[in-house]
Amino acid sequence: MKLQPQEKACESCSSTIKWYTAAQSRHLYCSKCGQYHEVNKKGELQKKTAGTPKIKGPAYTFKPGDVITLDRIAYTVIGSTWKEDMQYPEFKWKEYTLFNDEAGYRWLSESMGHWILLTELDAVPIRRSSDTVAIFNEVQYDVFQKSRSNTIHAAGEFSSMPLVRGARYQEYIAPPSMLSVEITTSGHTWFKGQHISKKEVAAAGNIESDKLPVQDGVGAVEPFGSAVRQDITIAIAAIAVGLMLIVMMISSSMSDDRMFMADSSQADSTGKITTQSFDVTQSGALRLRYEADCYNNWSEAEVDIINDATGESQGTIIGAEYYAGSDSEGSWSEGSTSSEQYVSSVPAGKYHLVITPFRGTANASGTKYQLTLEQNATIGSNFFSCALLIILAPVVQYFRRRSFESRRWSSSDFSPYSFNEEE
Amino acid sequence: MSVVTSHTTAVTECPACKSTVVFRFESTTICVCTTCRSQVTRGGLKLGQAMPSPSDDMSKLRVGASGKQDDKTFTVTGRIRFIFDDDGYVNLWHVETGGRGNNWIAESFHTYAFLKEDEASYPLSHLLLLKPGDKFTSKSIHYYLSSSETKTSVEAEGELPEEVPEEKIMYVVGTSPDKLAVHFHVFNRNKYRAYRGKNMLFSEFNFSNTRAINS
Repeated sequence: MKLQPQEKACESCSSTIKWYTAAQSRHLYCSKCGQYHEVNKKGELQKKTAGTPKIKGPAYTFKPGDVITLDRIAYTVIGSTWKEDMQYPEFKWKEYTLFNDEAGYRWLSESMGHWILLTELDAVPIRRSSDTVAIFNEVQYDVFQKSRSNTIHAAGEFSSMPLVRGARYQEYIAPPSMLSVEITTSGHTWFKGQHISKKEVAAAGNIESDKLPVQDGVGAVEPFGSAVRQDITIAIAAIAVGLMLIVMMISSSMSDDRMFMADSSQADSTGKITTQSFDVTQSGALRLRYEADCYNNWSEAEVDIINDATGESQGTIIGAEYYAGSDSEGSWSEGSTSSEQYVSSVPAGKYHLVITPFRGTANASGTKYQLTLEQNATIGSNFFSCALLIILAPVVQYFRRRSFESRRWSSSDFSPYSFNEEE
Repeated sequence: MSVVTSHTTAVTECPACKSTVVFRFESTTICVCTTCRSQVTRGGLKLGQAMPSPSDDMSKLRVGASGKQDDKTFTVTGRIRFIFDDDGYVNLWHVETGGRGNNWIAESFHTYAFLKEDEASYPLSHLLLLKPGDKFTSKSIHYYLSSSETKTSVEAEGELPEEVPEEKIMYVVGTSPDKLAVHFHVFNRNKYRAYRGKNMLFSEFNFSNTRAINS
């Protein structure tokens, strides 16, 4: 239910000034002409020059008297202020003071279209590590800002004269929450803030979302867009890759689908081997393994896999090379006398092979070779491709989050990011 | 909720205006005359200066309101309202708890603390040096100084345990990380009283017979 205000007449333009919180707020502004007044103990308005804004007010999203409903509690907006950072005056924000006669006060902060709801704390956070962190309810908040603010415009009613210059404040963040402390000569007042989405603000203020200011940049405690936490994404990816690895290993160890072996002793007079027909029982990859007795030589075989029914041929070359010797630095070797290769996507059917061998130096080693063919082969490259795709998700998320956090901290003097590096 | 009321309602006459002054609570010795605002004792003596009626500050509490704290019922007997030099204020609502010490609810801008008077064990010389934000330890509890304000005027109503202080008062509040509170009333910088307790939400008191605000 809306709070019913007392009504006072502006001492400057005689317009009606609504006064919601009585003796809690003895500093009133006329909503019509902006004249500042103090209320004396008799309840009379006394207009004052000092305290009246010298600039035209901004377009406040909420005005004194508006009702904002949060957690089913109706708060009346009693004051709106426009503030600027003293060090970076281009950085401005608005604050709305909300009041409910039982729940008390809340403050809604609007900065570049981002919203934070603040409540005064009834306990004091502990500051540690040279004031770079604050701990509250076992949550660590990192220092985000230590600065001073000027209140350059005000409307509504206030407990003290609001147009204060150089008010000290410090902010610590743990998105979507923050701690803020206002420091004056008479006290330290702590607040806890919570990010509140544009949609929630629109619903609370009963206004259309597109009437709210357009968001710019990343809010101080705006949560990262992804609903899934990065550590969870990493865990899921690790589990998926692990499972794939296990499946591949089991499949590999259980597969015994050797179809035949061919060796150089079966060669005809031209050196070629034409094998007997064999059945590929299911479509998939075939694994070829080639072993040769090459030493300081290379040995290759051109292998044609020919479908008996269609005559279609899939060709590949498989080989091995091995060199060894010694020099001033000692003995050395390179290459291998064996290799493996996969022939992918071979449809089921009846096939035979035609093997044509080659070798580097005639009459040297490498004349003997052995070729083994297996079906149901698991291709490692497939595994790695899938694993890469799975790992890509948390990697992309990591860089998106890093970019997001970097933009968030760009408005802080305490950023852990190097902006040259980010650019 | 049962209301703690006196079994020995006492009636006396205001020595200043001759109005009837009624004492309804056992733990009080002073009643502010509703007619002339004099502070009147149970014996019909006038003490100190007349107390202005507290300004309407939208408090939901009032004399006669009841609530619970640690499952014990209490009733509000009266209020002292200090106004500070920075336009802040604190309402000190004296509550009768059925003989469990000198208890108060401190209310400032709709924040609340339930307090009980305790021994003044913290060195006054240290207390006077504390600044907002400073950490101090009293009775093995770590507090941070939340505020230190100077009273500029006082208002009062209802029944109170003693005469309303008229001296210059520095009102110092310490708050711990776990909501414990200590309030010091430093009189003329040469003596003080300590009140200890905890900060609470309005809803935690389960108040009844509160004042209806015009909403």
